[in-house]
Order: sequence, then C-alpha cells, then structure tokens
Amino acid sequence: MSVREQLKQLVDRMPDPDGRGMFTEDVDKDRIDQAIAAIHAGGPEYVTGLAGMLAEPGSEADVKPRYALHCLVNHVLIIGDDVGRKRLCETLAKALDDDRPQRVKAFLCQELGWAGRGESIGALAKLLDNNELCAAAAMALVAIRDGAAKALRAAWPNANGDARLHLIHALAALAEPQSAEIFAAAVDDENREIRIAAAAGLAGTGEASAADRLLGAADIDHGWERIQLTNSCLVLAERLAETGDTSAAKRIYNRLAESYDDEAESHVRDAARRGIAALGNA
Amino acid sequence: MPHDANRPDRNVSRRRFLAGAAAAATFSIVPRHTVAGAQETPPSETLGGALIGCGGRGEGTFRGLGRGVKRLASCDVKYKDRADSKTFYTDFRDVLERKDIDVVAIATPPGWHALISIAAMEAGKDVLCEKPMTRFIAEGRAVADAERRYGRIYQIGTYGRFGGNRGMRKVFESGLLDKVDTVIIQRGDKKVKQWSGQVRYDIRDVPKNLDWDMYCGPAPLRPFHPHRFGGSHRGYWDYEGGGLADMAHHQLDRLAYEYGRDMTAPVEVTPHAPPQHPEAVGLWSWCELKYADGFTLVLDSGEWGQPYDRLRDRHISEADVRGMLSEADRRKLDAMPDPPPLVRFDEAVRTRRPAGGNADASHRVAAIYHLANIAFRVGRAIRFDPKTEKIIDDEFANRLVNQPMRAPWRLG
Repeated sequence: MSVREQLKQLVDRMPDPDGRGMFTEDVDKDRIDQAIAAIHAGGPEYVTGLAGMLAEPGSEADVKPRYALHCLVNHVLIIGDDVGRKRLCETLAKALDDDRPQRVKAFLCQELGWAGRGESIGALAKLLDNNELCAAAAMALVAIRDGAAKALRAAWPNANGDARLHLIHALAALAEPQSAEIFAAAVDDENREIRIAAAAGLAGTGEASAADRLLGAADIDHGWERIQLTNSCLVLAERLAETGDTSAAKRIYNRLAESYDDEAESHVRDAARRGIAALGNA
Repeated sequence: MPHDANRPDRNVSRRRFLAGAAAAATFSIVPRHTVAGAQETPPSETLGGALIGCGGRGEGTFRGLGRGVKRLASCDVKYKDRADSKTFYTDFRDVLERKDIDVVAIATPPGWHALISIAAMEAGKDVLCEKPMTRFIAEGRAVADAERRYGRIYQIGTYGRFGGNRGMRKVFESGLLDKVDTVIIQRGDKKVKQWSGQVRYDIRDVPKNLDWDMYCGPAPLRPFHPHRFGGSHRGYWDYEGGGLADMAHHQLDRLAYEYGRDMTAPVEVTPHAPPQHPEAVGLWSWCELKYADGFTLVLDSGEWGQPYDRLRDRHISEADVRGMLSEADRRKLDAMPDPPPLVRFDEAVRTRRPAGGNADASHRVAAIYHLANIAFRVGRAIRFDPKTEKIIDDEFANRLVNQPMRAPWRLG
C-alpha cells in the first residue's frame, strides 16, 4: 500500500460530521488518538501528505484532513515530543512555500501559531508582504513571541498596504524596547489605526522617553483616537510607576490632571489623580 | 463619528450629579419617589444609554441598565442598511465618542465583549455586559484593569451571586480557612451538542446589510457561513466557547461568590474530552478543577463519554464551614463585619460603589470555564497560577490564555 493510501485510511478514521455538519455523534477518542499516533509515526512524509489533502474550509474534502492535522499538531505537544514538534512545524512551514489556496495557507499559519517556535518564524515572516496572508502570519508570530519581533522589525521598512497595520499591531502586542524607534515614528503615520497601535506599543515598552511623544500625540480633538492615545499615556504612567520611575509617571499624571478639563473627560482627570495619590510621596 | 457641537452636553450636569451623589450618599439618600412620582424618573437623573449588539439578548440587556436610561444609540454590525450615525450605528467606536452617552449595554457575541467594555470605560461610560464576560483569560484581566484605571462601573449580565449565602462568603473571605474538602459536581445543562460548531459547511456571500469584517473583529477574517452568525456563533472558538461558556457564568456566579472562588482561581485542571477541532467547538465529557485550598469543582456535561466518577459530591453548608474553624477563629469571624449587600448596576452607577458582579469578580468566574475549555482544547491537564494568571510550564497552553488579535483590535 502506498503512503498516500495508508494516510488516507488513517485520515478516514476521523469522525464523520453528523446531519448538522458537526462532530457530535460517534466521536471515538481512542480511534482518533490511535490514528493520529500512526500519522505521527509516519514522519514528515505523512505530514506533507496530510497538508496536501487540505482543501477549501468547510468542504467535504477538507473536513477530515483539517481535523487530523490539528490533532497531529496538538499530539506532539501532548506527548511532549519537542523533536517531533520541531520537525512537524518545519514541514508545515515548508508547505507555506508551495502553491496552495490562500485559505489553506492561512490555516497552516494558524497551526504554526499553535505549536511553532523559532523554526517557524522565517516562513511566516515571508508572508508579511502578502496582503491576504499578513494578518494570519502576524497573529501566528505574536503567538510564538520569542524571536518574532525581530522578524517583524526587519519586514517593517518594506511593508505596504494592509501589511503595515498588521506589522505595527503585532510589534505593539510584543512591545519590545527595540521597537521603540519604529513606534515613535509611526505615531505620526497618516493611518489612524497605525498611529493608535504605535502609541500602544510605545506605552508597552515602558520607556520614560516616550512620555512627551505620547502626551503630544494625544493632544488632539475629542474622538476615538484621543481616547485611545490617552489610554496609552495612562498605561505608560502605570508601567513607569511599576518599574520605579515615579517622577516620570507623576509627570504624565500631572499633565493629564491639568490639561484634561472637558467635563466629558473627568474620568481621565480622576484616573490621573488616583495615579498621583497612589504614588504618594515617592 | 464627529461630535456634534450643537448637541447639548448633558453630561456636564449628569456627571456633576453623580459626583455629588457619591459624596452625598454618605449622609442621606433621597428616594426618587419623593422627588417625583413613584413611576417617574426625574429628568435630572436621566442617563443617556446605548445598546451595542442588538440581536438576541440585546433588548433585555438594555433594560438591565435600569429605569431612567434613555436609549440614544443602537449599534449592530448588521445595520449597514440603516446606519445614520445619529441613532443607528454599525461601528461602536462612533457610539463611544458621543459625550451624551453615560451607560452602555453590550450584547454582541462574546468575542467583542472585552474590547467594547474596555473601550467604553476608556471613554468614561459605565458598562453592563452580557455573559460570558470574555473569550479568554487575559481579556478579563484587561477589563478589570480598565474598570480600576477609570473608576467606572462594570456589571456582568447575570445576577446569580445576588442570591448567594453571605454567611458562607464571610467564612471564605475571612482567610481563616486554609483547607476544605468540598467537592461540587455540576452535572448537565451545558448545551454542549446544541452549541457545537459546524466542521462541514457551505461558504456563502456576506449579506448586504452585514459588516462581516467588523463582526469577526479581533478573530481571523473567515469566509462567511450563516452558522457563524446569530446565536450559533457560540459553536466557534473565534467568538465564544460553546455551551460551556454560554451557560457556566450563570451557573458558577453564585457558587463563586459563596465559596470565595472569585478571589482566586483553580490551580489544577484535568479534562476528559475527545480531541477538539481547531475552529468548531465540540464534545467534552468532564473537567475537574482543583483549587489550592482543596476545593474541587467538577463540570460534567453528560453529553459524551462516561459520567465523572473520580470523586463524590461533598457539599458543605454554612454550619459545616463554620464548624471547620476553631473556637478562637469563630470568635474572630463573628467580630468581622458581614460582607456588604451586593450592589446592582443602577445603584452602582448612582452611588459610584462597585457593582456586585464587577469586572474583577466576574473575571475570576470566567476564568473557571476558560480554563476548562483550554484544557479540552490542548487535550491535557494544566496547572494554573492564580497570581500571574498564567499556565505553569506549558508555553503552548498559555497561548490560549492570551490570544493574538487581528489588527486593529488589541487589549490595552
């Protein structure tokens, strides 16, 4: 029996959807586990074969391979086989280079976000300039965290279109101090969402030098952007207070308490005053 | 939405009133009916309200804001055909910019609950949010942070704890009890099959009146199919957590209050379930959640596999729990003040006292069912640190504690 036939037999052991299209009848855990263990034992050839069986989401052809691949990805984590995990992710990462439907590639990104580490970063980073896949790739990179920000920073100078937002957003979620320069520049971007994400990233780095930049950016007319940038100012003050830079924190709080004089922003003033009070005489 | 400079800024007087009321409450509370008729809300106490998420529970949630709230805005992603940026909206951000809105009822699918709750509090609004509170654990902490940072009122849309035994609560809150051997097994009523997701479906065109991108929000932008929309959204990890997340906040709220489980979180979580699908919520059998003090909660679906039989139910009464204390500790307990009566949303808004189902307490309730769902999804037992709110020694399970969001949506 060929590898393809053996694999198909194993994948067929996944449950059949019921009349509603759900896995709610005749779901046999032992049968699934045994089939997944056998696929795992088959090594990269089986993984490549399984990835090749994926089709458009929701289609009959995709149901069992999709479920089986996710079970396989999770299986290596359950059994604690890190060598197997790395090999599996390398194989899936390589599959991203192949000619496949975009939605299949998005699914592979999702699975790398589930179990990937450093071995997956390069393949995901290559998708950051793809407007259809950059969201999926960026989300997977944020899930992986370690080492991801470096790849995102490297991709930033050449990013265009939607990719710019997904990149800065992912960098902000990771909030590494090495990204501060990118954030500081992007606070002036022409795209509102990029400005807001950059401000959040700047706040997340917890650098005192970001204070004036953020306070200045928040000094705009009332609206969604001002609400978001003001929050970033408060977050930065909290970060600074946590790390012991109370004078920088106090400076932010004082500025907010003094300059937010619209009644509709009394909650910001109150927040700043509570922050000052919490700092005490520090 | 640009703010209409010609619109009266009703917030000024309202906020002054609230601040004044909070101070005055120390000395006297004037019942509304002495100011106006018993059925009539004085105009000075009328709050501007918005409903975000107008299907399903929406109307009921809005009514939960209490009397004296005038609906100024209704927002739903399916309102593309009627959005006028005055009364009807598709984008909640435009609603939150309005200065005349004081309180917000949120009844969207839960994938949006945390983000809109946080944004509303950042904008100075008080929030009543449908259950389940959140989609994952880190969202709950972020909501609680926003509640604290901005001094806003937050109440989850279930009042189970309001009927809770305050005597029991007092013992657990006192810190006098180190260990308990309580085992509570909740059997059934989790709607597991009812709120499963489809793994086989037909991709369809997005309805013309629906902003599908906004519906998906922080979740991946999937192809549209009708089962992901409406009440059946519960069957997808992108938006909720199946029947467990749908039902458990109701069922656990009272228990968490009485047994002090909203001050901590389970430390060991053991699941029994078949492997889960990556997107569609599926079947599970049971989950055992142990706390550091020995308290054990078991959720048994009764919808797949064998019934849970590892431990037996061991309930305790208030008398039992007092009996676990030494005589000296009982005296200490009696000298302590009783837990204060829980404050409902409208009273909390008026007095600025925290609501009974505030964000911090509700987050701890939500963490119970989120941990169970994480354990089902990763297919293994997990250990959780209630202080750091992270899963111990399991990098991959932790990815479900704080999940990436699709731009531009983010926590904090």
